[in-house]
Amino acid sequence: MPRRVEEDREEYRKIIRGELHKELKELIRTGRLLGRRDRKGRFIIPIPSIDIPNFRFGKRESGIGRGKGKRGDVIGRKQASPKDGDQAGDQPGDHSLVAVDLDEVLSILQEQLNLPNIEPKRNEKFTVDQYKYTGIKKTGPDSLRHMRRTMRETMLRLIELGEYDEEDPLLIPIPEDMRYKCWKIVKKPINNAVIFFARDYSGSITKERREIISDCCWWMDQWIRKFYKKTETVYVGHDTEAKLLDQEKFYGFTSGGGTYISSAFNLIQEQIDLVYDPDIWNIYIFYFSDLENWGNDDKKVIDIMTKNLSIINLYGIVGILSYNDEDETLIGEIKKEEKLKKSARVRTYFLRDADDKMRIIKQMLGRRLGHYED
Amino acid sequence: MPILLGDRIPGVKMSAELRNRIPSIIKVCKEEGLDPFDLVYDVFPYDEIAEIVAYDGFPVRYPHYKFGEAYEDMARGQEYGFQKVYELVVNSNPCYVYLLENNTLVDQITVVVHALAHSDFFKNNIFFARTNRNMLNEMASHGSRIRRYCRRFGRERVTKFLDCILSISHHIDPKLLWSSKKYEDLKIHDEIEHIEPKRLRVESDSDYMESFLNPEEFLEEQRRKMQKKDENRKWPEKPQRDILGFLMRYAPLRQWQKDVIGMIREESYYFLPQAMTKIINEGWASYWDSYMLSQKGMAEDEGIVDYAIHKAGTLGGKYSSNPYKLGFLLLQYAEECYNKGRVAGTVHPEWNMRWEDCKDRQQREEWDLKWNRGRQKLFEIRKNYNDALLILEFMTQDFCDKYEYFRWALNDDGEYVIVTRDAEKIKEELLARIDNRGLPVINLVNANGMNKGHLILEHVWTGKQLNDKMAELTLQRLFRIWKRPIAIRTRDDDDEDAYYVVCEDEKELTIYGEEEYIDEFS
Repeated sequence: MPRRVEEDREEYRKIIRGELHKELKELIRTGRLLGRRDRKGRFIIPIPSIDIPNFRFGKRESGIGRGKGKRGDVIGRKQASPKDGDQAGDQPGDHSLVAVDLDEVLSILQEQLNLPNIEPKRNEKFTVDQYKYTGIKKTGPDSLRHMRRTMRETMLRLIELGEYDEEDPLLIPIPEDMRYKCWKIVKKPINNAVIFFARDYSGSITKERREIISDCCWWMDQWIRKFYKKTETVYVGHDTEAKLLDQEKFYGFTSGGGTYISSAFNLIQEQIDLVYDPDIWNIYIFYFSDLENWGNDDKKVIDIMTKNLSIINLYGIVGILSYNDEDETLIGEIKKEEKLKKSARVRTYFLRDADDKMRIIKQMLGRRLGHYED
Repeated sequence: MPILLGDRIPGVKMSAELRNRIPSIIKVCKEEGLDPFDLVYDVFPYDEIAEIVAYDGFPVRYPHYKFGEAYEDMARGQEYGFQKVYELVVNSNPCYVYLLENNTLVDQITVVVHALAHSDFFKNNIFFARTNRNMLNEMASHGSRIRRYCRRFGRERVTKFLDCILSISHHIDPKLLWSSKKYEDLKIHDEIEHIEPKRLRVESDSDYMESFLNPEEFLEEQRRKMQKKDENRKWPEKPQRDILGFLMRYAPLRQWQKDVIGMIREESYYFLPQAMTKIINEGWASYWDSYMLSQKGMAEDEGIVDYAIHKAGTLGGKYSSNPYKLGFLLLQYAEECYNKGRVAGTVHPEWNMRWEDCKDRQQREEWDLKWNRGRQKLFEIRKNYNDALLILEFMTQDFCDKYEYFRWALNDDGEYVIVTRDAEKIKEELLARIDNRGLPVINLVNANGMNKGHLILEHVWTGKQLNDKMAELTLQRLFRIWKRPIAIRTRDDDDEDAYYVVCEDEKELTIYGEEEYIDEFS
């Protein structure tokens, strides 16, 4: 029976989705979204209730209830449920909570920021074997027996012999009737990714900057993850020396000290050499800092980047709320370097306004305008 | 004989045990005096019940996303496990009862009795006397008509118009519930008629009497008066509460739009009695299922615990003022009063004292005249009362004390505080919520306001302010229907002066004082 309600439900969801778009932009921007998840890991998003407006009274500030208690006793608080059955829900400006799963949120993110799908490196050298059931054969283990085909064979045989009785369709397969599924081995290119998140943890990275970094990392992590079977993340922090960090420390930790950006890139290089073979892994590197580098260090970074450009999927360099002039930082240096400037694999963004942080994601993972060599 | 369905959906069956018991249950109920319509019992799984509930019992209604939302809420309610629907009864003849599968047998028996009592109430209560008992077909017809309009004019367009109408769907006139004049046309005075004052006549050929019987100056004065009256004549002549009906006739709309208004209006009239008798109806049904199961022994020994759990679910809850419970308690209390003769005006023969003068707690407790007219009174209540009447009569101080009712209010610290246990105050609060379903009463006073076609509405002031945001949105939607400025005369909580909120186009709203409004537009 086709359900009539499905049609109306779809219509309702369409409206909700329209509202979601509006809300989500705001929520992603302010980072409020990340905190609210339900048991199934879905996002809980408050959207303005879409109930039909009518003439009604303002807030209800009294009502009746039942129970013990004397005059003046407090029976509840606002926000927390007032313990009156029919209290909730009819207040103006009410929000309904909608649970949305990550895929939905990401697809809205994609629409909003116009993100292209990520393509893995073309890589024929290393492949994995995958089993695909494609055919039927007459022998095989019982666990792969194809029941329907077997019964069909039985039926065909019985009809041929004229023993099939429509009134009493009893089918008993004999060994010749048995059919089994068989598989083919398909070679598929390996589909792994490693994401390096590197940041400067010198004293100049304040709490505000840290929050921007953590929001962006989370979103980019989720987005890239969507396209790979297996994804690993490596967190790197540095001042004058670089260290591998765990996630928690990466987002929270700040120390004093100076800044050598090249230290982080050297550490990443080391990791790639030791653990993440570029032939097997798609490598993404994101670096966040206020770009207050010391001395002649920018040059060293440029060298490493240029050298590795062919094996890396993406370099993302983000300058966050820096007091420096853009041209005098690492980003400026990158722009001077012909090879890096032309590559679509090098992305830079210089964040000036904290409200613009979604631009970072757009800049890092979005489409590139103009002509770039791959 | 009841009709028992329940094999129509694969995998959903009415258990043989229940199937066998239903006819005997109905027999016992009828012996007790209940008088339901013919009953059709059907069993559904939860999601189907949820669908039917979302459509208010009519799965054939017109398409609108609000039903989708209701369904989604129900589905979520089930997921989180705080919502359970046991049954659904529709006011129709025959009466359809939808049961939820997988309920325990005792639950099902409870529900069978409960639903039967609802049906009895629909059939016998005076407020339902004029409702369409064949609403299922009517709704189906509405559904198919609106679907047809959707195909012809586009679903989006029809939904948009429906939204506008649903915004004002409860503006109908409860007085017309019993009236057959629901569709009577209002007189239109669009041109000044030449009315002559009445002349006195005598049976005589002699004209000479004329100037004495009907002196010219008197006639002239009458003529002037009538003309003046005609000039001041308003349209409509009396304030209209049935705004939907008025718009259906006079708003500049296309035929299909008028048809849509007509349908929504009819559905509003159909659902109005149910809104007016929610408490008493649920109370009546709960009274009967509890009587049948606990006192007539239908639950049997092992079932009584299940029954207690069921009741705790539907009636329980600390601090709860749920209408099921209130109705149930009020009816129990009313029965007790009439069993023991505790009725105002009754004199106790021994103590020689009237009930309302009896102040002594001990005496009040012992007051028992052995009337035993409780059941009889309940049947009277079922026939003649609605929620407001029941509460007015039986929500006494005794009742409130016995069942610990109180009135709460929100204080400045955002806390809900018990304010009073005075029955009058509690009643006041409760009635305010029941009156007109707790919504403001709005009359249409003038459809040609300022002689510029303004639609002037008046909020009948009861001391409570309108919700600004919602009023704004509603006015904008009204504008889309009337296509001329809409003004509503209302007031503020702290300010005594009335003012007009005027919607001149779909976007902006302006607020004018009473005189400002006249100055601005005349």
